[in-house]
Amino acid sequence: MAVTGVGLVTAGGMDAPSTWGHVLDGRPSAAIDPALTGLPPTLSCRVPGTPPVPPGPGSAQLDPFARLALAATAEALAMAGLGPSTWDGTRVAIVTGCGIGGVNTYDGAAARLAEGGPQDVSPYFHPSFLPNMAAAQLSIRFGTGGPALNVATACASGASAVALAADLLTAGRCDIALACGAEAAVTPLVTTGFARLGALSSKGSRPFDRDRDGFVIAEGAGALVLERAVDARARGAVPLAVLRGHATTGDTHHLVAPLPDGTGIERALRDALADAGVDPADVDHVNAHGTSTPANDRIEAAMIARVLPHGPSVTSAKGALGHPLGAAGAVEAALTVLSIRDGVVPPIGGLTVPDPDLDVDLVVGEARKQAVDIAVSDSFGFGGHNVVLVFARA
Amino acid sequence: MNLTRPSLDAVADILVGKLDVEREAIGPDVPMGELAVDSLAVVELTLQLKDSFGVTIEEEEIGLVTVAGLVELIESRDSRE
Repeated sequence: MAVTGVGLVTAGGMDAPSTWGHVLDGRPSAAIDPALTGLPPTLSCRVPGTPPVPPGPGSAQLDPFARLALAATAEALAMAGLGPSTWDGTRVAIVTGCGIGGVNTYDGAAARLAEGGPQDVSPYFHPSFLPNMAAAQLSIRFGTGGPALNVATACASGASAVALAADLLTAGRCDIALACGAEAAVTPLVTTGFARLGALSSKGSRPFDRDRDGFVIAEGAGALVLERAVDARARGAVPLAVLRGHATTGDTHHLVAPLPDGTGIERALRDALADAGVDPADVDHVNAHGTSTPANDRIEAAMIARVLPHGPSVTSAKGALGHPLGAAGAVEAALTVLSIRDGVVPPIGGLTVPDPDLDVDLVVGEARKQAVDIAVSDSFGFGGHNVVLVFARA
Repeated sequence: MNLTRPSLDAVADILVGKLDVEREAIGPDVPMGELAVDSLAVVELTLQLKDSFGVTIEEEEIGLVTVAGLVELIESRDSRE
């Protein structure tokens, strides 16, 4: 499938060019968050502004996660040269990946119920907070009448959205598929929940570093426009890259801990390469899940070294952008596409001393010029959801 | 809670900021039924009027008045001096 547009709204920037520049600089975006005062970790990676969105109903009530989804998708569509005036909307599908939903709206409504009773709760509570509402808003505002779905696979949601969007195209359910991961869940409760699992760092995200101790919670959105390559060619669009294949597996192991031997994620990578018809030896670059938690990075790096012993470059965007949860897989898919387009792979933000026990080629310090013909993007979610996307030069 | 003095401008700000009403569409003689166009918006408006002015206006009342009439209704319920 051709990727003809990408959009990004992240802690690194309000659009794809600024986010890409930020990630290539390898500059961590984590900052002390006043909203998290008093919690064990007070770091977060916030989107530095409120992006404008296309007009539509409920604008005043948009939860931030839906707003980010609209902004990222609008950017991706502009890049692709597609929109309501160019397409038959009934043949356009939307798949969002959102692991949590409008939890800012939820918290506000819960506080109003507790303080003022039922009469104080807004009728826009559900239309704002439900996790499908980014997909619904995209469908309403862009006039797409095909399938509009949300998939929740925790921190793999954005990658699952890309995979499902490709499958809808393959199955002939649509002619254009918009995949978007979006999450805006930097709230005291959500942050506390991750802290109670021991997943958060109070020092900063540093994937694959010897001293890594967890991730920094982030918000953001990433969007990709997918079309069949033949359709993209027919309308004269120049693909940024192609999504060659993908696979999803389950760890069948633990609620939150990765399978220690990494066989679940290994199957995902091997199956995705097989689906893409790609020899493992031909993989040039890995955009890792790389959460910066001790266990994930150890198990993921060992898996990469087993499947790809020739040593492709490995990066993780979570050092620069934090971990935007359900958005991460789509954000990182978009960044992987940009690596292929530009022939450059970003350094791992926050990484200063590579963990000596990890036998992979980490991109340290500066962005690396590198022709990337084949790249994979890993995403893993709580519950043992493993998704690997395989992208290739168009 | 910091309450606002009822005025045409204050009501217009709510209609624009919370209900996506176009500011150009708002005028003193415009019936509220033309602005708060669905039942969700009417319920939301009663909530916003309570938050902003500390008054309770029933949903049924909103459809019966103009924008200026709504301001008068709010003033008549305003318990402050």
